[in-house]
Amino acid sequence: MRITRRWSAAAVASLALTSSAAFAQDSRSAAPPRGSLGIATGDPARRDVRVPDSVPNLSGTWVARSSNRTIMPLDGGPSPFLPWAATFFDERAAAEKAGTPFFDTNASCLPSGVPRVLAVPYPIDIVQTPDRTVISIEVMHSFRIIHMNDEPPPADYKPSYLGYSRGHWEGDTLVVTTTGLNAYTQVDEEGRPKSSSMKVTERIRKVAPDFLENTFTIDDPNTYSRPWTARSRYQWAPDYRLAEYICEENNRNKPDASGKLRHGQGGGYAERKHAGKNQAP
Amino acid sequence: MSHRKTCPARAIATAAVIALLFARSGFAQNGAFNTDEPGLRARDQAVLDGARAAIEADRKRPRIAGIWLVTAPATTIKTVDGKLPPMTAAAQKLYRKRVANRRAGNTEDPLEQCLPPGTPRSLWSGEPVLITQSPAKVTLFHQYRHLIRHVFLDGPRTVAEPDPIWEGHSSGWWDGDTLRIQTLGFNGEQWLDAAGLPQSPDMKVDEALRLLDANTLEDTVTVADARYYKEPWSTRVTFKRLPDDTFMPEEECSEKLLEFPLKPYAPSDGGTGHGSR
Repeated sequence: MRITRRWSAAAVASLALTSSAAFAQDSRSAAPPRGSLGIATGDPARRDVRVPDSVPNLSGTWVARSSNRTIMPLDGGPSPFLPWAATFFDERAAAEKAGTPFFDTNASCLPSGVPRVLAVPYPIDIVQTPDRTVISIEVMHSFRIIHMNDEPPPADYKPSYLGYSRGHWEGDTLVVTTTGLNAYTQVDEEGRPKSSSMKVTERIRKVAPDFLENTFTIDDPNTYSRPWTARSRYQWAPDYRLAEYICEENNRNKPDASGKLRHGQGGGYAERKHAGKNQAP
Repeated sequence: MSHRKTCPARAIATAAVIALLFARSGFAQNGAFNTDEPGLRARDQAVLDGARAAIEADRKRPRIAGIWLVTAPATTIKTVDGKLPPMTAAAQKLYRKRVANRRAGNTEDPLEQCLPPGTPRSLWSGEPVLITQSPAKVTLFHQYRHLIRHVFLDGPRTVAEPDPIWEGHSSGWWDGDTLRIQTLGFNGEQWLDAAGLPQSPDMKVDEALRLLDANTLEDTVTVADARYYKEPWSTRVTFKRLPDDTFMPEEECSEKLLEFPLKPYAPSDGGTGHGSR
């Protein structure tokens, strides 16, 4: 069983234990009602009432059980790098090992982009409306709008961190295709590269009452010799509410001209305040 | 010697337990789950049936869900009477200083450092807002700096939040055809407008949202903050409905804080293919 290198045996065992409990007995159905609405899980009450009952329900809050440090092919094989991509990856690894990592959008309060955000270890919140599935991601207060009506991107669409996403249902699986990604982010924190030609196809489904699985395929012939597939998982967290996440408050890690990060020299708001430079009351 | 004998047995027992757990949890050999879709659907249906009353109640409520655009974007706030809010002496001192600093070109407006505007400043951004509505929650997704405000419809809070934040903590409830939202627990750092109307951590913001017609949404905002305002004051903002298929592009404020422009690195994008810039 190999998902990514970061999935330790202990994490997998604990996942097995909790989901085993969920299968063994549906303990949640007997749970006392929560909140003033008197709804046990809040799940159906968190999507638009105009969404037909026949549409699978993924809405609510989910806690990630994944890591974006290393996103690797599910089959355990090496990343199918093209030669330039292997060089890029090795150079980044060497710079990090030397304690002078290269610039990463994340270090400047910019999104990590798709597909990396698909495995960030932060909670997500899914809202379903008749036309959109909106996935909020706690980190960097990002949200992805998935267009459910197969609308094409507008003529003046500009490539972006999270791309342009379209979704449809195949049985109980939400299939999301994302293109229109910009050229500035990497696949994971270690620095597997990507190009703006990348297409990401996600297959999101409930695999147990309390577990959500996202199996995503990365297709980028400018970077990888073949499409490859990775996976992230989430656990139902009905009582969790996404917290405020403000990177800009302490925007510290800015790059120098060569792209190396200079730690602690960003002069974020909090730092400036402590230095008495802000005139906030 | 003897414990050496028991070790393999223990390992086998452990492996058996793990195998059993995996089998019960629905793991297949390749790490994928085997799902029982009919079973999951049946469970979802049961939960749905439990929420039926709340869902039916929400069907009768005004549909504020949709994509909205403020009719009069503003950088300075006036009360509903068109006046400056009734500032205390402490607020006036701060306000005059902030106005003078901006004129001199050295404003410390937190908004310019990509910090979140919070409520009510986010309402006047002049960019589309996607509002989603469900029985349990109303969410405002702003195109402006991809700000998100999840408002759980739990009713008013009775205790102040211990964790002061930029955007405050919002809770909401329906009062007839009006959606009331209460926000408190601000950190007191943000300005209420670009001129520099101040807020303190004691600020409480009450909003009353109602549809004037199917395509017009009004939000009456009342600010109470005894430290900076002599009495609670109200202001009002109106939104017009945009088509449901309006595209909301990503907007990254922090790009303007970069010391160097972003560059592509993949050769196919015109980059060098190297890790360095």
